Amino acid sequence: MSEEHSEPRELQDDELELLPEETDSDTDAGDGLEIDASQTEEIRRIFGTTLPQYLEPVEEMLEQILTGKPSPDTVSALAGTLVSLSQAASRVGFDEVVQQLDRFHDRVTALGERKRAASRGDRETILGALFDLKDMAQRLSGGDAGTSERSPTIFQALRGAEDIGEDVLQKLSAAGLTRVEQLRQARPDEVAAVTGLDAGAVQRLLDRVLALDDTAPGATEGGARVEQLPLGADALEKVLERKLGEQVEAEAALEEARDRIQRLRAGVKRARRRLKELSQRSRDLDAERADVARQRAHRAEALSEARQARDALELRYARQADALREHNEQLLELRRRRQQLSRHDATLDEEVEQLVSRVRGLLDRVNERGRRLDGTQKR
Amino acid sequence: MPVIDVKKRQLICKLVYYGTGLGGKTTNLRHIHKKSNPKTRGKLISLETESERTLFFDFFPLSMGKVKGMETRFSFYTVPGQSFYNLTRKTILKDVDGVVFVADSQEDRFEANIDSYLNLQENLQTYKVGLGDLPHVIQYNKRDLDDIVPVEELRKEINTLEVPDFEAIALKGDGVFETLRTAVKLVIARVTKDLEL
Repeated sequence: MSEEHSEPRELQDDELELLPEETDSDTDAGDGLEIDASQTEEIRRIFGTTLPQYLEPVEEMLEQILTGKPSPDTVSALAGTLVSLSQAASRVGFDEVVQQLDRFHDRVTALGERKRAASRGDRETILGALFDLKDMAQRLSGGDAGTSERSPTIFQALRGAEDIGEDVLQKLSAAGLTRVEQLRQARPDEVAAVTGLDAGAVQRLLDRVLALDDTAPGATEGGARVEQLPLGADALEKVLERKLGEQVEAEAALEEARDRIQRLRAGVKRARRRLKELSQRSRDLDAERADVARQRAHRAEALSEARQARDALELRYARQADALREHNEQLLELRRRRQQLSRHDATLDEEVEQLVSRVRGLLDRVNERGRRLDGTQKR
Repeated sequence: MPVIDVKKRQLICKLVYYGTGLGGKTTNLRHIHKKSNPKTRGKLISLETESERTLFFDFFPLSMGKVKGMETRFSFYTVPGQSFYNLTRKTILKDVDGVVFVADSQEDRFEANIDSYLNLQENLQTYKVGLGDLPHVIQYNKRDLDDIVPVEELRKEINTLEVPDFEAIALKGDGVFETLRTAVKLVIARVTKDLEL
C-alpha cells in the first residue's frame, strides 16, 4: 500500500488470538453464531432502503391491473414478484414484511380469479396494502428509503412497444430492473444473466431503451401512455401526493446528477493528472533503466578486464611456481652434494690424521735409530 | 467505523466483497462459510434471483476471537455486481470497514472490472471516504480459465493504489482464505489504531 495512505501496522500474534481456520465442515453442520442486534439492524436498514426499488415494478403492474380487466399474465407476473420478495424478506427474518407481502399476494390472486374489473373497494384495499408496505419499508430503512433514480419506469416507457413483449417486461421487473436509467447503464451480458432472456432479445431491448427520448418519459415509439387510475378521492389524493413527491425527488435527482457530473469531471481531471504523473514516472523509470543498463555494461567491461588480468596473473604465478619448484630441486641436489662432500672431508681428515700418526711413528723410530747410531759411534 | 459494545466488550467490523457481476463474490463468501468453524459462524443469508444471481445481497457473521481482549466479529456482505443495482451497492457500503475487490480475470470482463473499481470509489465518495484511506485488498479470480488477462496487466490497471493482491480460483477455494486473512488483518490493524486500543 502506498505510504501516503497511513499504512496500518502489522498485527502481533498475541493481539490476534484467532483467525478463521479452514475446516472440513460444511453448510449442513449448523451455524453456532447468533446474528447480533446491530447486525440485524444493519440488514433491516439495507433491506428497507432498497426494498422500494424492488417495489416499483409491483406498483407498475398493480396500476395496469387496476385500470381494467386484469390480464392473467400480469396477475401471474405480479404474484410471482410478490412471492420472490416474500421469500427474500423471509430469509432476512422480517416476518411483518412477509405477512404483509403474503396478504398483498392473496388479494392480487383473488382479484385475478374474479376475472372482472376491480371495484372501487378492491382498488382502495389493494392500494392501501401497497402504501402500508412502502411505509413499512420506510420504517425499516430508518428514513433512508426511496433514493433511487427517478427515470421513467420500464412499464411507462416500453409497454406496447411492438418488439418488446409483456413477458420481457415481467422478467425485467422480477430481476429488479425497473427503471429506464438502470437499463441504460446495464451491460447486455448482465441483463441476460439476471433475466434469463436470450442475447438477441436483450440487444433489441437495450437498442430500444437507448433510442428513447428523455423528454417524453411517459411515452415510447409505438408505445402507449399509462392510463390514469379512476380512483376515489382519498386514494387520488394519495396518488397526487405520491406524484408530487416523485417530482420533488426527480428535481433532487437532477441536482444530484449535476453534482455527479461535477464529481465525474473532477474525477477525469484527477485521472488526467494521475496519467500525467504516471507518464512522467514511466519516463523517469525508462531513464533510470537506461542508466542501469549503462552501468551494467561498464561493470561487465570492468569485469572482463579483471578476468583477463586474473588469467595473466595466474599464468605468471604458475610459471613462477614451476621455476620455484626447479630451484628447490636444485637446492636439494646441492644439499645432497654438500653432505656427500662433508662426509668425504671427514674421511680425508681421518686418513690424513692416520698418515700423520704413521709419519710421526716413523720419525720417532728414525730418531731412535739415529740416537742408537750416535751412541754406537761414541763408544 | 466498527460497531462497539463496551458493555459486552465486543467489536463488529464490516467487510464488503465488491466487484463486477458474475465475478465470484458470492462464491468466495460461500467457500468461507462452508470452511469456517460452525461454532464461530452465523447463518449465510443469500438473496438471489431465479438465475441465482445476487439480487439484494449475501450476508453472514463470523467471530474472529479476541483482539486486545475484545470479542471481534465480522459481518461479511457481497453486493449485486450488475451495474444497474447501484442503489443497493451504495447502501451496503455505508459504514464499511474494509473491502475485498473481486476482479474477474477473463479478458472480456477487463473493462467491467475497471468500471466496477471506479464505481466503488464513486460510491465511497458519497460517504466522504477515499478508497486509499480504506483497508482493502484485490483478488484476481478465475485464474484457471482460458483467455485471462495476465496478472501484471490487471495489477497495472486496477491496483493503482498498490494494495495487497491475490490470485484465486474461488470455485476450488484457492486463494480465498489468503485474501480474507489479509483483509481481516488490515481492518483490525486500522480499527485498533483508530480506536487506540
